[in-house]
This record gives sequence, C-alpha cells and structure tokens, in this order.
Amino acid sequence: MSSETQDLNWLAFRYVAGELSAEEEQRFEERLALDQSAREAVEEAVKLIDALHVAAADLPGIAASVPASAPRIRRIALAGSVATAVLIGGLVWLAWTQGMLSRSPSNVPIAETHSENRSQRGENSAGIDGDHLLALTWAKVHNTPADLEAASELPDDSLWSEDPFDMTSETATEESHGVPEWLMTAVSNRSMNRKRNK
Amino acid sequence: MLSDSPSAVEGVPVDSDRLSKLFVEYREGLLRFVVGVVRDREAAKDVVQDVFAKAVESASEVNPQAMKSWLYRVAFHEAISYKRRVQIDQSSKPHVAKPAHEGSEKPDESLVRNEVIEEVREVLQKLPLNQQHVVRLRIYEQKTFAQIAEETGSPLGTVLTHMRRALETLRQKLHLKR
Repeated sequence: MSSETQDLNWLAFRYVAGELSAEEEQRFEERLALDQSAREAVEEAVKLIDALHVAAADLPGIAASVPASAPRIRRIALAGSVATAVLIGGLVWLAWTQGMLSRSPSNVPIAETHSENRSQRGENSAGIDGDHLLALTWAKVHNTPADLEAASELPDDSLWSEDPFDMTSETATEESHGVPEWLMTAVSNRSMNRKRNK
Repeated sequence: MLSDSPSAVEGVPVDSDRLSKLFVEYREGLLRFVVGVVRDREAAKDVVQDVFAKAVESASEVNPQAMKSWLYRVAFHEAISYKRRVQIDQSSKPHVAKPAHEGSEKPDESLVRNEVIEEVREVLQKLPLNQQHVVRLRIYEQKTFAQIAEETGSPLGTVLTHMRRALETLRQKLHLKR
C-alpha cells in the first residue's frame, strides 16, 4: 500500500469520524466531488468502523466497558430468553394440568374439591367445570405464545425488515430481481410517461 | 454524447434488468459512502433512494464503464445537499452541541458480513495493547482523539499514531480493496 493511499485512508477515516477541522473537511469534500478513489476511501472507512463496532463487542476488556446503549442486542436476547422460558413453563404447566385432569381415577376427587372450594367461595360453580376450566386455561395460554413469540424475536430483525436495503425483508420478497417495488414502479411510470408524450 | 455528469439530460429510462444489477451491485457501497458523508444512517437510506430514482431517469445516458463513478458522484451531490439543508436548519434553531459523528456510530450489522466480523476480531486481539486501547476508546466509547489523549495522558500525536497503525494493520490483514 503506497503512502499516498495510506494518507487518503487516514484522511477518510478522520472525515467519517468527524475529526477534521472545518477547513480540512471543506477541502476533503471538494476532493470528494471529483475523486472516485476518495469516495471509495470514505466507503471503506465506514466499512471498517462498522466491522470494528460489531467485532469489538465481544472482546474481553472491550465488552466490559461498553456504554449502556451499546449491548442492546444482548439485553433483547436476554428478554427473549426470559419470554421463552415463561412460554415453556406455561406449556409444561398446561401439559401437567391436562395430564392430571385426564387421569380419571385420581382427578375426580381433585376436581370435586376444586368445585367445592369454588362453591364455598361463591364462584360460578355451575359454569366452570373441569373441562371448561381447562378450555379457559388453554385459551389463555394459547393467546400468550403469539405475544411471547413476538417478544422473543430480536427487535433488530424487525427493524432491519423495514430496511429498504435488506434483501431478506418482506418488501424484498415482493421485489423482482432484488430491486424494490418503488424502483420498478418508477421505471414503468417513466416509460409510460414517455410513450404518452410521444 | 455520453456523460457521467450527475446533471445528465433526461434520456431513455434504464431498463429494469440493468437497474436491478446496479441496485444489487452498488446499493451497500453507496449506503456506506453516504453514511460517511451525512453521518446519519436513516438519512443515508433516503439519499441512496434518491440516487436510484435519479438512475431511473438518467442512467441510460451514462457510459456503463463510468457507472460506478457516476452513481457515487450523484450520491455525493445528494448527500452534500442534505448535509447543507441540515446545517441551515440547525443554524436557524437554538444551538445544541452535538458530536460531529453522531448517528454514524451505530453500525447497521446487516451490512457487516460475519466472516469480516470474525477476521476483525482476530486481528484486533493481536494488536498491541496501546493500539487496542485507542481503538476501544475511539470506536466503542466514541471519545474524540483529544479526549483520549487527555484521559490517557499521552500526546495527541501518539494517540493518532496508535489509531492510524491499528487501522493500517486491520486493512492489511483484512485485505480491504484500498
């Protein structure tokens, strides 16, 4: 790598990092207007900074001093893990409850006891029998997984799915040849306008 | 006459196949370049969208060999226009001090390849500790070189040298194009 290239790379890095004086910045922008190698140096500087950001997150000694805003993904992953644990716990509890209720010889006394207890507490014993209780519980738990599942997904994925440059996004699946729909529409509108003007 | 000027006259719109190729080939690089200029990732996305809207209008007038340069030049002009508008807006409002690089520091991880991350991690760990320290303070804690110099008690020139050497090592090991 020539020293001229090294100088340009360093200048581009300082430009991207906002470390140039106003005068230096103006001069570099004048160069950017004319010099493709300078523009590519800026692109590479951003690429390097981005890679450093992501890579440095897990390095010992660096992770320890990460600002509070940086490990957002890890916090989200932790929240996701907790939500998943709650979901699994709920399903285990449901399976256990279902198993208890379906074991007819042993569940009768329990169901009767519950029914008696409800009667004693003045609850609606007529409307809520064992099966109904199970159905209600199922409905309650059944509604929860969708929310939990949504909560357990990394929000960053959903953010990226809105990114017009993310080719894996929902928008991208509607695209033809990897080009966003808006761009294809613009091309076809432009063609139609031209035909109309002829 | 073929032109690579961003103000090329309106011509036959570029066909969708060619546009697709341009989009797939250049969008990420353009986005990074514009982020470097405007230092705001959300704004950069809008700017790049404008660039491709311009490509719909004028790219067919551009010599295919000059296409990359043309796109980057259009991107630069769009980015600078955006930057000037923001500066005018800010100068008309009460001044709130902001770091010059605000908005540029949160990487879009979808644009960083996993293999690059691994390579960077390996190289980082092999850097001399003083260089690692400066990289950490500058990139991760977003401190200015002046602040790093003050904090570490090192001359500013030494801090800059550590950072520059770290970046050069990273570039060489990562075989970046430049």
